[in-house]
Amino acid sequence: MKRLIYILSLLVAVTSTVNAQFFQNNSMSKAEFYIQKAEFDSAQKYINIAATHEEFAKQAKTWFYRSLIYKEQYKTKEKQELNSTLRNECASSIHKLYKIDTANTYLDQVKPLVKYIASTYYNDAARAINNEDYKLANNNFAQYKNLQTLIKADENTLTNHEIQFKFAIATAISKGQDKIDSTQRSQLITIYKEILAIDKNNPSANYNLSLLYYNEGVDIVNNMDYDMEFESLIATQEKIADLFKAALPFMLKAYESDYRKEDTLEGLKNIYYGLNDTEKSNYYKQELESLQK
Amino acid sequence: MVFIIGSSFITKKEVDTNAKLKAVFMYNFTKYIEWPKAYQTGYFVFGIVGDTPLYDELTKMAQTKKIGNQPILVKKFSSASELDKCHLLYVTKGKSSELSNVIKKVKSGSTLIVTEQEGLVDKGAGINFVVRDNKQKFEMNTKSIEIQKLKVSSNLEALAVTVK
Repeated sequence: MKRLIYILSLLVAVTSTVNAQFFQNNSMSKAEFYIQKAEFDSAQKYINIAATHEEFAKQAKTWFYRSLIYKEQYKTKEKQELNSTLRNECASSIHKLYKIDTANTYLDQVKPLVKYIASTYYNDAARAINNEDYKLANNNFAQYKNLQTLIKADENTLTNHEIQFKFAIATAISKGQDKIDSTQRSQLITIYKEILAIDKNNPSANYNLSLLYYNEGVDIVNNMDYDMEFESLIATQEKIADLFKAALPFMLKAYESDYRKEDTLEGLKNIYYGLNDTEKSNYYKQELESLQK
Repeated sequence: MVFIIGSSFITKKEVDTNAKLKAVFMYNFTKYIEWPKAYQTGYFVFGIVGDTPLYDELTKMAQTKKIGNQPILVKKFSSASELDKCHLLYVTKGKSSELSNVIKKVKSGSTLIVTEQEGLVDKGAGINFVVRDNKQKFEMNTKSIEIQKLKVSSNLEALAVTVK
């Protein structure tokens, strides 16, 4: 009797495995079938079943199809959404495909798809900036950058895009105004430092970063009360001098780049003046005056 | 879709940073120095010999602040010969050569003489602004201050970089 039960159990187990395998195989076939029929809801359902199967998960074809299906689903259903789950699924499938497809079976075929999805992320990064959703803008741009890196896009172009993107966020944060609060200031400092980490000689980032430090010092001076206590005065003066010192190397760098010559000369004149270095302040003042003649 | 990149910031010019700091220093000096009774009524007069952005800053200060109960009056002099009664007299760097004439002119009164040129603390100035590590500091000559019949608090001495 025991033997019979054992045989029956074994039979059930084998049948289940065979059924599961058949079902998985069938899912992949069905996914292919529905792709051909352009019925992507069904294709999505079956490719996701297939993708959970250990064997199919290792196959490049699975992730190629999944990329394709989710791209179509995104185009149909979420094209207007700046934060599209369908597009993110497409992107993650593309990344898996690039990891798995070492034989380069699908990479040429998928390249136009990658370019398309990357371009939508790029555009939606810009739209997110317009909506003042900087976190989403950063996420979208990061997706764009990662996809472009996968297809080995031109590095210089990518770097320029990244710098432009960061400048665009900086522009949106400052809203073109000079009066910014401390949160905006620290966000802008971070962004300009990020730009300089990519391109240390970037004249505009050097100039703007310098002015952020300098103007913060000036704001502190502006807001000083005449009858503040000596101890506070001395501490405040230390802070102001530190800010002017922080501003100096970036303004010098911008000046060396011949960027906005009159403005950088004005900046250097003021920074050195704030640092009580009359000799250097006068030097740049004279240079500015001779430039304006 | 393109990224919109706007214009850069501009240098702020609302304030002459050094003049504002000096004005705050000078207001503080008055808290640590006592003038004789005869000087404790009427206007508290800040005199300036020469041209300096400090004049505008002190004038601004005079609109909102008092020294004790005394309203502030800021006067500008182009030379020592024009001087009249002042509580505190600031001699600009450009007029440093006139210091000895200034001292002669105010010796009968109680005027705190403040200068901004290295070495003048040894030549009769009570307080002299100096730059140390890119910051405004001040030296004091207690004798020069006391000759003017002014009482100076030891707390102010403690804040000076050098005391003579």
